[in-house]
Amino acid sequence: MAGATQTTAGYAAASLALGAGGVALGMSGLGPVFFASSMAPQILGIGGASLSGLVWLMQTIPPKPKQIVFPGIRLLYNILATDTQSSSIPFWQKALRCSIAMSAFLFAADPRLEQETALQNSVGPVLVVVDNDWQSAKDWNLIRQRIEGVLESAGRQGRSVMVMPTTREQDQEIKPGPLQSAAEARTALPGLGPKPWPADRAGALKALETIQGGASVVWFSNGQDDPRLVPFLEKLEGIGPVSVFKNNPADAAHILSVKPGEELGAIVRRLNPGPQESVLVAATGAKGEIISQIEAVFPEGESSAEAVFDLPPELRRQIVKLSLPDEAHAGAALLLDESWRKRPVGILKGSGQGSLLEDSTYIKPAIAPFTNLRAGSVDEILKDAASAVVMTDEAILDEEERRKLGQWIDKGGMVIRFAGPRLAAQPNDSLSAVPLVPGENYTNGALSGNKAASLSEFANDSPFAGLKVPKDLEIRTRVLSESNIAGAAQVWAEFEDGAPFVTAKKQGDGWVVLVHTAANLEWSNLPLADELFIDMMKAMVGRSKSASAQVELTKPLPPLNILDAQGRLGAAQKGSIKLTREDVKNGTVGPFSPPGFYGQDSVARLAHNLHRAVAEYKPAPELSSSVKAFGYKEDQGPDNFKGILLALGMALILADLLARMKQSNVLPGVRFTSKPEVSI
Amino acid sequence: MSTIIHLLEEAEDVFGRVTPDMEMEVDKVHQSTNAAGQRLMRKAGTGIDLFGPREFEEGRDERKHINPRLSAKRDMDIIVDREVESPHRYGIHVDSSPSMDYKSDGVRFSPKQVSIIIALALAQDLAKQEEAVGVLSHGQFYRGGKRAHHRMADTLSDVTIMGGEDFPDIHGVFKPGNTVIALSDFLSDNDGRLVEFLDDLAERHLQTYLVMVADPDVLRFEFKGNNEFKGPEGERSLSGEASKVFEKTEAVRNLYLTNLRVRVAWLQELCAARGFHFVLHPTDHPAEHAVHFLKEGQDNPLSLVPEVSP
Repeated sequence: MAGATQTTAGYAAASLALGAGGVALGMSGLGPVFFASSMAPQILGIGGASLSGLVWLMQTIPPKPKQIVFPGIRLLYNILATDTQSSSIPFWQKALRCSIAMSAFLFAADPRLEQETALQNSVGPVLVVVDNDWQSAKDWNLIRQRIEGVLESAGRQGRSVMVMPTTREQDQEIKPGPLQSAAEARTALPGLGPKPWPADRAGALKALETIQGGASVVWFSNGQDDPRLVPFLEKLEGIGPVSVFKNNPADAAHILSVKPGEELGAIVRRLNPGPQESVLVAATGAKGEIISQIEAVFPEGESSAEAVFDLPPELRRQIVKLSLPDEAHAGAALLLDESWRKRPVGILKGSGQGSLLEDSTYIKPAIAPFTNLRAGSVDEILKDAASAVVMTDEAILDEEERRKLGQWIDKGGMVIRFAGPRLAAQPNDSLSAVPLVPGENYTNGALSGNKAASLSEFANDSPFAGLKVPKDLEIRTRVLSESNIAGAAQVWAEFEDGAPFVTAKKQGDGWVVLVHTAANLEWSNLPLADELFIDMMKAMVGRSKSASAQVELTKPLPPLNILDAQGRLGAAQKGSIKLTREDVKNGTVGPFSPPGFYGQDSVARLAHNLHRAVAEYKPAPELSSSVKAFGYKEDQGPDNFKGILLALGMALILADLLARMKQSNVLPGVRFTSKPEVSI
Repeated sequence: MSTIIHLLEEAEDVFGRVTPDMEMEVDKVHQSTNAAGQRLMRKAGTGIDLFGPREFEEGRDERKHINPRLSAKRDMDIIVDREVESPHRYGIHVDSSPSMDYKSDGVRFSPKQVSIIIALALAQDLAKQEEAVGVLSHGQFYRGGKRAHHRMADTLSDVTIMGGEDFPDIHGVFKPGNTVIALSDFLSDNDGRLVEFLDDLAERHLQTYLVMVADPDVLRFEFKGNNEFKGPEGERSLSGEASKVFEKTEAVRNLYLTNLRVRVAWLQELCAARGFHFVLHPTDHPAEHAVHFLKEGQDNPLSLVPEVSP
């Protein structure tokens, strides 16, 4: 009796010890394993205490005997059962059943493997610095998971957290968040999202100056180099031990930039000049429909690739955006305004319509390849946006038309006018760059030795600078300007005798340009001097303003549509967002001037793109050895053991079931079958 | 004639239901025991001349059986074995009670299967020598030809279906000197019926062989741990116990083996007292051993039961 009491007391003591051990395990975890359930201490405490009771039960209650149908039963009748010793459940089966119970309790306690090692071997508050700039949008879900992992880890370690983004918001400068619990920081995390503009490293550096005391720093970096990166990192290291999460450069975002020139296309830049790589570039319309897509191929070791679209004008006119379909961030979208399109140029219809010798006969083929050319009256041409209007001597305008044309010039339009008999007869025409001397001037007259005039070399400040004058160019007839035109107009080209050949007068925001000879072959062979004529026309049209350029930038432009962090074009919130002359000049892209369309309407609008603010796109230099570096995409393996524990528990239950079936003689392969195995 | 053909066809069909491994075993036993020129068993009665003269053996042969012509020719005493002219009848009984189905792990055949193999091998051998073989309870004997053991299989099938676990009635079937071979585990409760059966055989002057076919578990009883033993036929002890529970079975092994040795010794003595032969055959031994012991006798069947360990 005394022994039984002692045994019971022993089990009770073991229960208490195991229960206490379970509570301690639930609170502290086991090495890198922690318990996610808030009830883990209680669950494991009860589990530990009940294990001892389970062992006691198995010790006390004998197992069910194994059933054996035995032909020699008659030889056992006279053997007394008391001849045998008492037995209990075998040790291995006790261990098996205890393991089943332990698996169940552990499953309920939800053990997990501590995967975030960024905070290992450090103590105290945690400063989480997040580069939530345009690049982060590409892998934001991944970055956010990693941020949450660090916050969870900090929470488990009972450490307070301060979160600081490195991009500016409209309403405030960059500043560290409040020092708060990890749980509170997690609650506020949805408010931290990627922005469609670059990180403000200088602003962030300034914000770091305000942090008092030390902290473990976890920096979720964009991996991009920056002039202020070194002092920024030095400041972080001054605060405490630094762990840096960053993307593999090969996984970094690509960014689209404007491709200079007439061709419709873009330059795609990548952070890492690695092996050859292909990137798909799509041209999309106003409704987001893909009009065309091509591959831009980065040669090995190159950090940029070109994507050029060869599209007919009808399609080209519909494109409002180039984008990288496989990436979703502001850098993967390049908005196109009217400046990307071929300049719309009109030719005023003359009185000799249909005539083979019409002046515009030579102009049309010369300028058609690089303009969107159309012919018509003043009203017809100005009805749609036009950059320049070509006016030959055959065009006769009434007063109303002249007034409309003058207003259009004042707003930035350009009239390119060719001389002719009519102009020579009306030297005081208002649509002339300079006052003219009445009458035609024949350069090949007797006074000039019957030799037609030619042009002198173009001046360096001329729009035609660099163009070659063909030797066989002959300008036989011209109109002469009055002798004193200084200050009234610019001379873009002149004859060898010093008389002006092309004069240009600024009128309002526009220009009136006069070519002092006719656009036909009667006065000169200029229209047949192919290269010079085409290049001169190209240079003059090039001086005209596009529809976008005609947008007033004298005052800040309101937003029409702006890009979000994922590179999607959406409605703009009016108010503080505006595009200023300084923004365009300095390439500022930020909370007050995010990438998007600015202006008054869909034609007279400016595209403001992110690439203006990302002049250099190259990877950050190697971090110092004191900084622990982690990749966003590092494989962390399974973070919880619930599946494993469930499978283990089921397997153990199955094993116990099979063992019991075997012991009860009900498994296949039993020793006795009542049915004869032979049928004969 | 058509009836015979039908019977033969039916027998063939039944024999086809013997599992191939059993059939192979029958052939193997038959081959290994069928030595050329030897008869399976010695038989009583006057015989016929055989083409097998041999030298006279003092004590074994009678002098009156010396063949003077052959002796003079060879200048030595020559004996020619004589056999009865009438066919000798062999009645074989296979116990088909449920206990014969018990088969321990690692053993190929149950006692019943082994008994059938032995019976068919004997039938095949005897029929080849123009002897008449039949199932004891069935009353039909088959003689000669390769098909005898097929017919035997047919009959055994009937016996099994009809429930031939009890000892059969042999009135009017045998003549004195005929042979009865009974294959069973001899673990039935009804020992009185066994003694009665043996007495009946003895009265009819029949040569009798009891072959105890036992599973190794029955002979060695190597169970361990907590077990509840029940009889295969719902047996009950005298005190009404339907089962025996031993929490540590290994502890009762010696007691069991003692009981088994007593039982085997009793069976052996039962046979010896009536001039019968007793053979103990464990099912994990080759079946030809049993056939061999039937011919030559088994010296000490008890040696196959493990000794009681100290």
